[in-house]
Amino acid sequence: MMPGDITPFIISIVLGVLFGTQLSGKISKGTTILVIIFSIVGALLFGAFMFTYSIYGGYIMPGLGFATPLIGATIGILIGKALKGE
Amino acid sequence: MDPSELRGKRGVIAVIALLIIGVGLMSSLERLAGNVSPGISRIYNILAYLVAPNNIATWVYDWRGFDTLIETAVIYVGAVVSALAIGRGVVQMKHYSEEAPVTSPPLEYRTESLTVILKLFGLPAAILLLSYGIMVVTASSTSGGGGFQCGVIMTSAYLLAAIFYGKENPIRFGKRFLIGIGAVGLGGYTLLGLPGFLTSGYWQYNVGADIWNLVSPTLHSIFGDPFRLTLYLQEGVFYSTPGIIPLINIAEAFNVIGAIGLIYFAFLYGWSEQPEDQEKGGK
Amino acid sequence: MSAYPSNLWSIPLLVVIPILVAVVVNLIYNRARLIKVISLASAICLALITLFSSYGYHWFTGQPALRPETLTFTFDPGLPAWRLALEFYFGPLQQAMIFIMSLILIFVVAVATSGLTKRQGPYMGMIFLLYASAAIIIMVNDFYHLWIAVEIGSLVVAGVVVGSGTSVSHKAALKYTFFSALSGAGLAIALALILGLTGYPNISDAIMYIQSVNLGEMSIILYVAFGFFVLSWIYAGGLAPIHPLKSEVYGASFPHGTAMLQTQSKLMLVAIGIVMLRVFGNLPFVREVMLAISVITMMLGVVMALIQTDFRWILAYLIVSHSGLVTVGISLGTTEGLVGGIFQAINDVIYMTVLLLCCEALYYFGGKTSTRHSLGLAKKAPWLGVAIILGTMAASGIPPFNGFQSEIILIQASLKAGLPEVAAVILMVSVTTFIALFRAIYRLFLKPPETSEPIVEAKVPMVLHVGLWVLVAITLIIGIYPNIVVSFITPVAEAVSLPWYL
Repeated sequence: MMPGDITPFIISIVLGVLFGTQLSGKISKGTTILVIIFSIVGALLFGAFMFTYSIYGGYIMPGLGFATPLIGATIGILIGKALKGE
Repeated sequence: MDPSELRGKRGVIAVIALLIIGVGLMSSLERLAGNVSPGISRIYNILAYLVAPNNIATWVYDWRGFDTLIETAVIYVGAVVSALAIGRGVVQMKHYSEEAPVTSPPLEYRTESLTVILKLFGLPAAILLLSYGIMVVTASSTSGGGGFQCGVIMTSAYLLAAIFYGKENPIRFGKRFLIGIGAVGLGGYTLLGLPGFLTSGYWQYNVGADIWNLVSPTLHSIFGDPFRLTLYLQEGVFYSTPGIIPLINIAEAFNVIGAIGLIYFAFLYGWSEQPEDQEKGGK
Repeated sequence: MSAYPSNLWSIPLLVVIPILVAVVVNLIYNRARLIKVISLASAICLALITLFSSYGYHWFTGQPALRPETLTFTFDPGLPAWRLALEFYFGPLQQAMIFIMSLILIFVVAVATSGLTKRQGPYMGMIFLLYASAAIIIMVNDFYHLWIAVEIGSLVVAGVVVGSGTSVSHKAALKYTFFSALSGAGLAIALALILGLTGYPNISDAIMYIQSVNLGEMSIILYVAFGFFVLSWIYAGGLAPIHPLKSEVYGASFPHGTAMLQTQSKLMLVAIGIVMLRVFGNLPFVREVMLAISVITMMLGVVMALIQTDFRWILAYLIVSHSGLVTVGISLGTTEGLVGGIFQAINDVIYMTVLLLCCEALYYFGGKTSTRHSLGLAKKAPWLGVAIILGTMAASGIPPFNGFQSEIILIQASLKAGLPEVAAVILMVSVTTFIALFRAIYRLFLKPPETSEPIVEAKVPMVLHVGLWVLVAITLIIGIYPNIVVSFITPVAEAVSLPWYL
């Protein structure tokens, strides 16, 4: 594992929190679940980033992987929204 | 410009000028076809593996990184000037004013006509777009992606939400947020040149990648190690790092979000000098 | 080892400080006091940096150059080698031009921050970016970067103009942006063609390549590139036939803004002109084309200035006309021509700033700049009357002021090149400048007022007085000791110059 595998994930969470705090209004439970499901599907579609070769970077086997920053960003946004409240 | 101005003599002159330009350009492009001199790009390509795996990121943010700073400033200036034309920061002489400044009213929204399904999916789509934008900026050095794209994607999320929800935009980028993030972006990009300047004397030297061994190992690893990757290439295995390129891209993204967001904001909601909480009508 | 470093400290600061100031003042927006302090301090800082800096190069991003014969990398700018980095150069000419610009920036900033209403953040930011764009264009030795700087420069011009928020300024800015997009695009195409032909964005490297290979029929590409370069030169400097657009820009912004705009525009003309001479100067007909454009600009400018009935607009057209004076020298391309042209640019920005500051002072006496009314201001503000007359004398090339020194060099240069017609036009321009300006001065200052209604006056800020008299003193000093400036220009003029071959 190289540090470069994980750093994008951490950055994505931080940025997600930052932009999550800029959301207003209420986010329903349905929306939350929908967003999480779609970001997992999206992450699988995009696959792991090039030159990442560890499970931490989202790499499972050749041709299969998930984009951790996409999931990280979604989680970050939801955390940011929760921190800010309505 | 009034199209009728192009009739008569002026039009004829314009057409002749365009024809001359067109013929000249086409003939020189034809001569260049197949004869383009590689020049400096050959050397750039030889050195590519030493920095980011994404060669274009290296070109744009390392070899020609300072050009990109000024291009980023072009976007920033574009936004500031657009907002200025709408009314943000119009100045007058204290003791004399010719006429009242020109202002433009906000757009009118009619969001009632949108279907329920669109409104239901609007928010999740906007949030997913935001996540996608963040993913794209983290992929700047490894694959196609970067600050410009991230900024454009995230502001399109903002525009999408504005179309669906009008004034009740759930992505509430306020004016202070937009201007602040734009300033952090352009200012941050500019200041990322400082570590290289202070240590090696060269502005915006990539201290993280440090391919010419000009800075101390400590600084090299502070900026370089977090992004280090193993590159399995045809030529062999390399442990290279893009250094400050990912950081520059984040700054770049902030700047683009601030700039394009400000343009959208000013054109959609108009510009007034009241503080934001008063504008929201006591919300 | 070369005597010059490749990492001169001052070059990045001259570009980065204005950008950072622009960001900060835009952020603090309406805190007028803080904006004043920050912008004045940094303008003074910039002037000091230019004054005390040594000469040398800066290779941005710290990439070395590749020596073709040994295939080794070097950080020594003195050796012939292909530059990987973006190169800026700071030499005597750059020092003189940027120092004068910094001086004008200080007074413009001081006058603007004391005379404008509160929310001046974005506007001041634009003024600083104007400085940055001109500084880049003066120092850069790279086609690609030149293009970006011209592009940002034309956008910033629109920003400065639109800052006053009047409908006239909106119209002028919109028109100018529309057409100056062509300038940027033209330069981009020229850049693409040269890059395709040589493969080097660095101007010196591209010239080295062009001179080392036999281009054969590929040289037509150079001509097309020259065509686009001229297009962008015309648009950036407001030369004929787009002079009405540029003069609208000058007339529609605040006089202090115009002072900065014309400084940027004239120094840009010099810098781009020198690049054109270096790259295309040897091609037949190139300098004739440049000369023709310059002469037409001069004549059209003064004629238009004669028929204006507003002091602001008279100045606007005179500035355009005098841009032609600058480019005449550069188009000649001989050593005297270049010295005259560049010297004229430096003198021009100084005495035009004097006149523009006088115009700004008129705003404190009710703001009437139209020459249809007579105001009889000489009684109320004799000092202003004296300053404006001294400025006019400098602008019309009357000794002992600086305008005389550069115009005489230009006239000699054109006579030496065997072009007495051009010399005659230069003489005509200086005489007509005097007539146009003096007509306005007579109406505004000397002729007794027609109506008895009192003029609303306000106290003219101290900084305006100071700026005015410091600049008048400079015109006089340069007029008496022209070598102070000429010695900075001569080395470059000798290095770039080509004989005129008629």
